[in-house]
Amino acid sequence: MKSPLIQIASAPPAPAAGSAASGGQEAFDPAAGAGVQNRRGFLKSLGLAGAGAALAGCGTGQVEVLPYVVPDARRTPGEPVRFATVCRECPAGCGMLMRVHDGRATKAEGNPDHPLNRGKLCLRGQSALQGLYNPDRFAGPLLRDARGRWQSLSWEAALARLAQEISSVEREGRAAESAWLGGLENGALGALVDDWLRANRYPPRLSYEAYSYDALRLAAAAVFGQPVIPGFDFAPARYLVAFGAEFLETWLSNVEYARQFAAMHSYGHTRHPARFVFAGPRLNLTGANADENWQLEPGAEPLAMFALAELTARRLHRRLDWPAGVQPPAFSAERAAAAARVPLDVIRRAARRLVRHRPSLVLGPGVANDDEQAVFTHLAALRLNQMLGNVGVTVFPDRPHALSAAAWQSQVLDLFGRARRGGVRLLFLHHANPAFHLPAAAGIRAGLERIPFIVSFARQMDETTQSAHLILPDHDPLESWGDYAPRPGLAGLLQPAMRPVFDTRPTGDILLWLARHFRQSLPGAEPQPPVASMLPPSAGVIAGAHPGASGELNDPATLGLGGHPSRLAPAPESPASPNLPSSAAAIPAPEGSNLRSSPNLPQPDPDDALPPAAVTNFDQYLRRRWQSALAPGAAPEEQARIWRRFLAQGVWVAPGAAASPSPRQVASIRASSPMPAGPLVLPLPHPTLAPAAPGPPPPAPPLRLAPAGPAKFRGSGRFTLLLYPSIRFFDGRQANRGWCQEIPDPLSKICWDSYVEIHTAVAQPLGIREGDILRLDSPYGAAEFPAHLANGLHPAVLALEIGQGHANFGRFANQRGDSPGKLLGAQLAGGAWLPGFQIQVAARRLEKRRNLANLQIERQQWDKKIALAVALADADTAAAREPEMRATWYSFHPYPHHRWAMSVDLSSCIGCNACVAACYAENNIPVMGRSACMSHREMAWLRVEVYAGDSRHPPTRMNPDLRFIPIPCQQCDNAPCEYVCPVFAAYHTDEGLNGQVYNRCIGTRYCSNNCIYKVRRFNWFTPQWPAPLDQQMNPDVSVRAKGVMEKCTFCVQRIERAERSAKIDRRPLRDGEIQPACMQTCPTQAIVFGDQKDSRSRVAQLQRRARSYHMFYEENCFPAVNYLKRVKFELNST
Amino acid sequence: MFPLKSIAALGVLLMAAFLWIFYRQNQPYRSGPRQPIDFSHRVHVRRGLACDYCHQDVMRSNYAGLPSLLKCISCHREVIPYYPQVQILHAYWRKQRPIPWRRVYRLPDYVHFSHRPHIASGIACQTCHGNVGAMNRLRQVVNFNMSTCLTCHRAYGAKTDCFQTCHH
Repeated sequence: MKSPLIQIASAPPAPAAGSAASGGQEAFDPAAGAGVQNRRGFLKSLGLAGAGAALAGCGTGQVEVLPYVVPDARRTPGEPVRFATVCRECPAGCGMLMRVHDGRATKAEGNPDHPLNRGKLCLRGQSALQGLYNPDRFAGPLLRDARGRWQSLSWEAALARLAQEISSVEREGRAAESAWLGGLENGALGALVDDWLRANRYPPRLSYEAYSYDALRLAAAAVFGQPVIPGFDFAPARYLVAFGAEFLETWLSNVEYARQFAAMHSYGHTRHPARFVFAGPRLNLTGANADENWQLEPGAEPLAMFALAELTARRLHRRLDWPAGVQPPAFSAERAAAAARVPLDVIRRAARRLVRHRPSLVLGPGVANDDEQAVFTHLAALRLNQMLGNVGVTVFPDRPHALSAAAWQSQVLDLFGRARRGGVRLLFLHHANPAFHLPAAAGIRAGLERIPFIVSFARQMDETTQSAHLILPDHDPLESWGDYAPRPGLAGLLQPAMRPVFDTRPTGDILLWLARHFRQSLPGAEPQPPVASMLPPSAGVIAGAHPGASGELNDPATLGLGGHPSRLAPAPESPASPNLPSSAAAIPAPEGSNLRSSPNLPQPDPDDALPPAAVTNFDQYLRRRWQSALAPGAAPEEQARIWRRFLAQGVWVAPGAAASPSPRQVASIRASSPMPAGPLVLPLPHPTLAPAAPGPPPPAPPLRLAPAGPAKFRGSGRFTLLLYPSIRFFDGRQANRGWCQEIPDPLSKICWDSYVEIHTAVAQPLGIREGDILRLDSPYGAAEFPAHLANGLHPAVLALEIGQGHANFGRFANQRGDSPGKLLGAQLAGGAWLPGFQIQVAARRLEKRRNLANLQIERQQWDKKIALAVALADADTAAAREPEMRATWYSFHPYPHHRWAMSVDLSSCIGCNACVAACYAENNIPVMGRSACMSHREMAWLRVEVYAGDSRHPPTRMNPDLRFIPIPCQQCDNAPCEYVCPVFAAYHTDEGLNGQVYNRCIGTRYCSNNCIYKVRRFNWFTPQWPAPLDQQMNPDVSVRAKGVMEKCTFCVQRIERAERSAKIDRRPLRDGEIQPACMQTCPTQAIVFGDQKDSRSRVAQLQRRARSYHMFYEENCFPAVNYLKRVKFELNST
Repeated sequence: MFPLKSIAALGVLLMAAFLWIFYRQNQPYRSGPRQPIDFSHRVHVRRGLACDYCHQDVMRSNYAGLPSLLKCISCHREVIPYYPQVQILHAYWRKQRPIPWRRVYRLPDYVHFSHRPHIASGIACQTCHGNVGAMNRLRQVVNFNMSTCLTCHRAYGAKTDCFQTCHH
């Protein structure tokens, strides 16, 4: 508990430019130096260890077991409980079920009832646990003293300090000069903050999101009249065109879209897959799943989009009419296509298909190029959707996404502009980190320095909070009460899955305490419950009971009730005599004990009762808000019953909300997020095609490095730098998590580093090799990054992942390279400032190197049959069949009961790596750090490899044919690992698993050497879980020690649990009852697990498909994992 | 030959110490650890309490579970409340602190054991825990090594797969 404080006190200064280049020290690296030990030291430690062992043999090793003082009838010690909550890792708001083992949250799974994600989670959602148990979280309030050092202080003192500051702001009469910059909170907390700000006569809050989709909102305002982010539904689309929208990674609601995309595009889900065309200068993970890739010139999206829209309109015999105030381009579609360097017939074909295959969906650019030009692209895309009749079918402007209420970037910039001029007296930071996200040129740091008092509710140190004066750490979302509405008419409820790990306090409690302290009245906290403004007057439908994801949820006796932290630690009455350290916190749970004491006498469940007349803490506030809205005027018992049902399900769906939300909801979003001032002036789509520009656009061959025409982006360098959002770190907020750092980027397969992508064909003539440090110069600054040679981007483009380059964000995130923010400018254009993650940069190779930890260096399959594909026409024919081999001198394994098997559909797999994160969480897989990963000593039991085409079907630019293939242990029948083990640690079980008995393993590594799939992992080092990360461990899985081989077990603990339950209930196992962690979380349901012996099981049916094959069948291993070939519309020919 | 004698004596001593440690390590009938309260299973069982009256999670969980303080106190509020050992219990209850019982039965970390299937298939508690009803201070009477588990599993025809039964 102490270490985070110590670390903050001695936090290293921000690394200077190029510290990455000089090979900065690793903040977290258990492997570093572990293997260095000289012979003498070894002998010494041997002697000591021997003596220690002899002594230990004599001791009795007393271990304590603690009973409950008062038992919790809703829980059985040793049995996991699941609590429904909401994932708050990004603004999508997916439903989540937290598995809790004896008071410790151990695994995040999707909530099957939630209409967005239907039980699935992405990589970042899976990593929520590492946010909860993050060792760098604040252990309590902190105050910065006069010398700029952080001093720990008590909650009473911290709150007194805050109250004093609020009083002095009031005295100075500068209430209007304060500001609240917070995350996107649109539920009870948002309402409470609004009421509190109003009561203090502070200006309204700004909901800060780094990705605020300003361009899309501006375009929607022009097309639909409302600056909202429309809802999208991919499932009904018969043709899909995306001009860069990374909807399978970070864009708006990626789990929901991945599910819908699979339903529409994967041959595993539909016999008539729809085509997907991706257009953009860089092939991202979303584009990697496309059937057709238009590699555009950087900045040419508007041109290509215009050409597509114009040609489609022509085919429909209509005029492409532009909204009022938009200056239509004064050139033809043909010229636009030529300038975008997309063959005209390709665009014509797409237009033809758009018209023929309806409904369709056309999406604009993603966040990666959300700049002025993107407004035009989005506008054209929305117009095109309107013209094709997609509005109301695949595009729903009346179902706005919650992000529509986010602050405009111009508002945030304006706030810090005022701060730089000394116009901000008091700033509240609630999980907002603009100093990291926004370009250095935006002057956020300078603005923060000028603010006299900054209060941060951050959970851990970040680049913005480091300028704060007072830190009042908030609970993690998994410890908090709350609610979140991803769109009007759909809300999820957060409830604490466990007691707070650190001495933190919910922000809502602090505000309620402040209101009482200053004798202010807040509407929701008063004795008269108000009608909740967020909800329609009639009660909604709590999504129906789902079939047994957890029996507990359906049992009223064990309805989801968390640790209720805010109930155990009530808000203080006054700073002088606060009721602070709760009795619960006073009883420490002893080390190693699974049982915890409960401090309170039996009492009626507070959730059953109506909240008291005047609420004093946030969970009461939330409950009253919802109870009065869910069942207005109902009897208290009825309200309590409905509330408990809501708690158990975690989702609330308004009646008919999906079809048509009321205009009031749209209007309320509009009111909360005013349009930027000034008229909407759209920039010209492309400078080379400005109406005044005479003559045709100058030709620019693909490998010409300087733009032949005038610079399209600010700056004068020969490369266009493109920043793209990260599937692992979102905007950087998940960077301080071991799992997110160690799971590699799905395309580059690089972990633990930031790097700049450069096209191979450009790099080689310049003598740039993988890992060479490139210095990038923009008009705003310079930064250095190691180079990564890639093929999926335009030669004139350099690409950087957003999210790395933290200066002060904890041990996993710090010193991971330079910050791309140094290179960007921040300019206001046309009344709306748009981030514009693109800029012209010059690149220069320095005489320095930094080797990158790349977990998959080879991208070609050569003549090996690893990830196979089949053309759509052949998918179910004999042409799809691969030969099989089953030759043995010996008898086959009999398998008396079951033979567990897995089927992976490559046409569904989108390469998102959610399965890998789930595997890390479920199986106690340690994070090994960068230097271990450099030696390929990462411990992931499951990896997702990516290959570009195969030897017969090489990738082309138009059809990159990227194939993702998740590779767990193949659980071979004729396993090469088994017969080389000298100690029988690797052996074949009766149910077909390649068992690995850890306590028998002596670490010869013969099995790994003999494994042809390379899925076995050896513990070269003692695994490290910096406290309290160790609390996340799954108690059903052994923790492996140094010197032991480990591997995927098909989640044998889940198999055993299910078999045990079935046996006790005297029933056969149901197909689908056992879900390994990877299968459970896969957003596209690419993974199916089951009993191969049962011919009616799904896995057995899938194995009989024509396109089923076994990897490396010729090696005669008879794996239990079969793959279904990726189905492509057409395959490239040699 | 003084040094030789002393070396021999030392050797004998070492051997004796080694044998004693070896004996102590391997004999199952060790006296159990001293508990914070001199709780007697014998007294409670003789009064007719069934095992799962106190260890009530045995049918539902991996663990058999220990009785909560509330359960102890609900009887001992009336039953011999002034008995010195029960007074200790009352002291814990007043402080609302759990009793730090010393663990008697312990399996290594690499063994995954669950009480639930064993009780469900009708194995008596005494099979593994001995005649607890005759013990005052609880002690381990059955040596929990793999041969104990395997002998029984074979006799009952239960699963004996190393990996899928215990060691995963």
